[in-house]
Amino acid sequence: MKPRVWTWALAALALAGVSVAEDSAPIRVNLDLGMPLVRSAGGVADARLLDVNVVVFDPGLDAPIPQATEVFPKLRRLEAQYLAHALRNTLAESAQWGAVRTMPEPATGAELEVYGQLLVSDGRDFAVAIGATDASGRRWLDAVYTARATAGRYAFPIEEDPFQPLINKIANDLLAARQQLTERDLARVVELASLRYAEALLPSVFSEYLTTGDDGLIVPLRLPSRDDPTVARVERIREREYLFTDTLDTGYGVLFEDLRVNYTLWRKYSYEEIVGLERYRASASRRRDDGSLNSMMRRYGDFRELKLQKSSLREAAETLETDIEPTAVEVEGRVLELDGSLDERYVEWRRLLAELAAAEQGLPPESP
Amino acid sequence: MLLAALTVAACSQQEVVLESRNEARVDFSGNWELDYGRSDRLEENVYNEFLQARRQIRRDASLGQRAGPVMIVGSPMYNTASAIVGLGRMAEMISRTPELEIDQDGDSITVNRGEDFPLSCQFARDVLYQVDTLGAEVCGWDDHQLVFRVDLPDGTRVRHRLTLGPDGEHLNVATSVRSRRTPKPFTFNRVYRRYEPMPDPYECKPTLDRGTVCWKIGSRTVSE
Repeated sequence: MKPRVWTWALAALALAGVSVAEDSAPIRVNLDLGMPLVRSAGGVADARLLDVNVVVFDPGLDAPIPQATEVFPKLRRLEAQYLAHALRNTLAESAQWGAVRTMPEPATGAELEVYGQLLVSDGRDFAVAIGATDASGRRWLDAVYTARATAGRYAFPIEEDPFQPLINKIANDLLAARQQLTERDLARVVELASLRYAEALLPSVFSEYLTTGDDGLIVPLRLPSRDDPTVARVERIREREYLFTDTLDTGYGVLFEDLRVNYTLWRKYSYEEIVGLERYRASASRRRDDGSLNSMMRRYGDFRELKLQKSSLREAAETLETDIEPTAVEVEGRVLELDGSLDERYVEWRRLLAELAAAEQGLPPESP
Repeated sequence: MLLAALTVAACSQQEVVLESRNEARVDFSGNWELDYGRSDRLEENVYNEFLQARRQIRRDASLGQRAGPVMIVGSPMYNTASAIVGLGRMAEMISRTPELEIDQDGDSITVNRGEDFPLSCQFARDVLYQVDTLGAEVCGWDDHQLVFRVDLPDGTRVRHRLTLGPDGEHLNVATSVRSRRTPKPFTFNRVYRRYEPMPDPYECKPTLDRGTVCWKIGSRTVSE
């Protein structure tokens, strides 16, 4: 599931300071005011503890939004993993959810899936389109979040992510969406997640259990018997998949920790370059040209300064990119890199699980 | 690429259309050092430009006399000489780099110029034209020559045209500067010759937290 296309335009308008209609307006977070994370105080009823998959964000490399600085594709792809895991950590820290995992790909059978697309991320401005959908297909969230950092966010010691209030806001909004649902609704989501997972593994067996209602949401037609041996088999396979995805999640955690300090320094550096260059542009716009050598050299000097700053930023980005060793995880005796063939491997893994399920069921292999 | 081509063409009828494809397969990569003996001398170039300008002014004046009386404000010769000296000094100053290190592959070329900003062209992404309030730049191939051009907000135009010598051992960088006040650009040629750099006993690596970190090759003693 991808955020809607118009989110680009909304984010661009928001960053340009243009007002847009209230119902579609990007959510601007004032970082300096803070945004406390709503944590569970006395525990959450089990029925409300949905498992959450946070899918690695789309790096947004095709974003048509003008960026204050050059976008470095490799760095952006790292950010897409880093920031998805930052949201995963925040959701986990709130203690409002069941298992929260960072996933390389969307996965059928997730109870709640959160996905995002980076629109702008340059240390000063951050804009991300976030969506969340549960197993019934109900949209919990579909919004663009934007924030602009001030120098105070980067004052040493930098104790939290400069954009943490924005991440807290996303987590709080997910919680608010959950609070609008009844325990019955949530129990239905858990049932549907299991059924959809089973259907993805064995469509010929489980597709008859599900249908789509008039409102476009998926509903169960009936539920399999609790002692159905096929259901037990599917659950065993699902447990194996959890082991796989937990390993991936651990890998994203390692990447997050490896990147945390240097990524924050990079953001601070980028922030300072952007702010410095804007001051420079402002003073250059006040220059008066008289055609003299001095006047021409000042203009050339302005351009030279721009190029040197961009070059310096590019060097810093390359430094960050090369400093990070590819994070590898070992799954079932195979070493996989998080930023390598993981997506394909995950798809392959799910296909193998489907084959396994079909073989156990005595059916010909089916594609998940 | 099309946008770049159109824009360059639109800016001036005399400007050539720059291409992202290196059809002539010219390879500039390597290390280059300035050959002072083969390079232009500023005084000579200024003097020659000055003589040409003087001839032109005299021709214009004689045409003007035939056409009837004209009123001359200020001294055209003085203004022209002052502009030529200004352009010449600027061309000389912005092309002073004594050494160039050029990285080139099929997708991009970067001319590293020591302390000065690198001239870089990304062919793969077809981003030959970049606009900023502080200046617009365009780069690309003009047959066997590589061209970098900058247009500044005051109308000043700077162009570097790189040409590889037939032996592949010499590189000419023609830097032209033109202002709104002068009818033609001032061009200053720097000739570089290829050289093999001495092996550096130190290996250095930029870091975000400790600046540039260097160590002697063969040891792991780090100095910052």
